[in-house]
Amino acid sequence: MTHLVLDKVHKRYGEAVAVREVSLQLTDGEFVTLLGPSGCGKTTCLRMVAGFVKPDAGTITIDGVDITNKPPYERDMGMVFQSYALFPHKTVAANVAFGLKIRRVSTAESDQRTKEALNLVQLEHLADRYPSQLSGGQRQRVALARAVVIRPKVLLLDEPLGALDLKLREELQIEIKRVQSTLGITTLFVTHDQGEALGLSDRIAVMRDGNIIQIDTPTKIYERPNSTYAANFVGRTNLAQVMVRKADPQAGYLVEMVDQPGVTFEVAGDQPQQFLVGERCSLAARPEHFDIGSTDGNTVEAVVTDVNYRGSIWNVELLAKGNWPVSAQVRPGGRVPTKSETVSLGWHPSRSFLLKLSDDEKI
Amino acid sequence: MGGDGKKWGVFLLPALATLSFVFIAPICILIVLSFYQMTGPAVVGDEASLSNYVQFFSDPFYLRILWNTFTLGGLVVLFCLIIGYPVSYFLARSNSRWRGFLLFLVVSPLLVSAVVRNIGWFPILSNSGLVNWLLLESSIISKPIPLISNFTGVIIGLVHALLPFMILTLTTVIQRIEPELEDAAASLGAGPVTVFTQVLLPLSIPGAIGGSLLVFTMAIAAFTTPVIMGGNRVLVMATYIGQQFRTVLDYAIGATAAAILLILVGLLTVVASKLGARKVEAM
Ligand SMILES: Nc1ncnc2c1ncn2[C@@H]1O[C@H](COP(=O)(O)OP(=O)(O)OP(=O)(O)O)[C@@H](O)[C@H]1O
Ligand SMILES: [Mg+2]
Repeated sequence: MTHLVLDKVHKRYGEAVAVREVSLQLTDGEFVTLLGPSGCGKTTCLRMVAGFVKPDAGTITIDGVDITNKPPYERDMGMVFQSYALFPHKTVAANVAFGLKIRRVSTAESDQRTKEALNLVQLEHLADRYPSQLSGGQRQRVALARAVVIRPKVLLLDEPLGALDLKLREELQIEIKRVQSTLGITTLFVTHDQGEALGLSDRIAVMRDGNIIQIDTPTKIYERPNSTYAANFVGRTNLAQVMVRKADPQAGYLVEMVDQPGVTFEVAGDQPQQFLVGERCSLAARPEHFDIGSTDGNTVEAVVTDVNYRGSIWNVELLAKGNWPVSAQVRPGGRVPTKSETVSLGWHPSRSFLLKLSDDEKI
Repeated sequence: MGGDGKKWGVFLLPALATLSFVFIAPICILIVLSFYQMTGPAVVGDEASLSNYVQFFSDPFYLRILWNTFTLGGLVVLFCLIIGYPVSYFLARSNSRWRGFLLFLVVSPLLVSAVVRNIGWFPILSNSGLVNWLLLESSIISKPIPLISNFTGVIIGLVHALLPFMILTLTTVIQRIEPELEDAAASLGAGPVTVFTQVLLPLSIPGAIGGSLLVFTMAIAAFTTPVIMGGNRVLVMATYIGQQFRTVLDYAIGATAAAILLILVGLLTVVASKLGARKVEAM
């Protein structure tokens, strides 16, 4: 049972704040991802949990024990680095056994556990090689085995797939998830890749400028982001400025396009925030939620500006009434519109959501 | 490229000719001299033999000099390693604003002439110098410890002079060790001592061998520092060779000692660079 809690953890470098009063709770066996652009403080957060960086304020506890001031080597964390950080002078087996040797585990048990760990990442046949004789993907698997073999309280991964190419990344994602769920290890994962975050996590914490701005399940983050920032960072979002005309807790909202008065849409389902009648806000919808040619639910007239084939889908760019640029998709089997065609663009009211205007959008 | 290289080679000829005259010719003459016997001051006979070498390696007097030389080299290397490693580590890892200043301090011995550098130690190390004064004043000792004009003085002087070479070599090596290796070891439970012995040290060995060899070679070949800091009392190969050529005028045995020093240094260089290369390859 590992319960990791970060409570108002704060870190400054000189004048610049790297992490701003971040609070986060991981329950036993949970896989949580810190997702955000470069420089938003993900690594700093992770390194504070690992003990390499000392927070200026706040506390970090594991199962109720305050570890904020413990050195890294007393924390029982398994860490995986983007650069692999394998010991170049030790064989694969010796790398994996390193933590066990320090814990003075008996040779027999150490050998057994090393073998099991290498088995888990399907590398037992490379035990006697040196890291320099392995591919990037293999190296990262060794690093993963080395981190989990000590049965750490928490597994920490800092962009472990960052140095790998796309195909390997996908393979290793599956591998990491499999190892993590097999062992039921509480995991904190750092990435700036939304695909990784959505695919691996139980919950995602979206970070911006040292803050966690939203923390939720991947589906919630994707379907109900609570800000334009989160909506744009995770997946593609079509935004239109609208004015709230009716607000009803049960039925939802009725909104009117600001640039095309008279055109109204319904918005149904849970909204992350409350909106008042007369409030200006953004209407948001994901490309795959539009139905080209549909006359059900919300509809708006739109002109097709571009059509691209993407293998599994067609990407259709349109310009809807009120100068609203929309990107939509057509799945195989659907009717693919032609360029310059005028179509009816429809979507279900529960498939769109409302977002507060960010400060720069208000002007 | 090849054609260009040949063309430029022509311009190198004068330099090469000068170098071979200045460096290679004297060494050849020296080696030739070492096979002859002294017949008078600064004169040798005309019968070549190995007897100088036999004498050198069978007479305890010469073996003692050889031993002194190696002990000196070994101790200088040891102290340079012990003092140099932490400094190198700091230089390699830190981005503190003191880094530049420290680097300057480290190379500063190279900017001063050997004489000035050594003379500077006298007010500090002599019997009435700073160190002994402090120790006497604080009643830690009752009579001054001789720190200069002896073997200790030579070690201090050489460590001072050669530390920059050790530090610069080690710094480059430590810089090439990924800092994340230390983090990885720490996260696996390794305390600072284990990180040092299990990660830093093994990965520093090629550099440590390189630096040690450089320092050792320079220490056993040094002349000025043993003369000044040893107060003419410390007999190592270099000072002995100096004596033979400048005061005793036994060119033959002097040349023999010089040739032996040359060969030993050469052998050491080959062995150590092989060792270093093998270590690097294994990684
Ligand atoms: N040792 C340091 N000294 C000074 N500033 C630092 C240090 N480490 C991080 N920072 C700053 O803190 C902020 C957060 O850095 P951090 O490395 O946590 O970002 P990140 O989200 O991991 O970014 P990336 O995706 O690029 O790895 C950045 O602005 C960075 O410049
Ligand atoms: Mg980072």
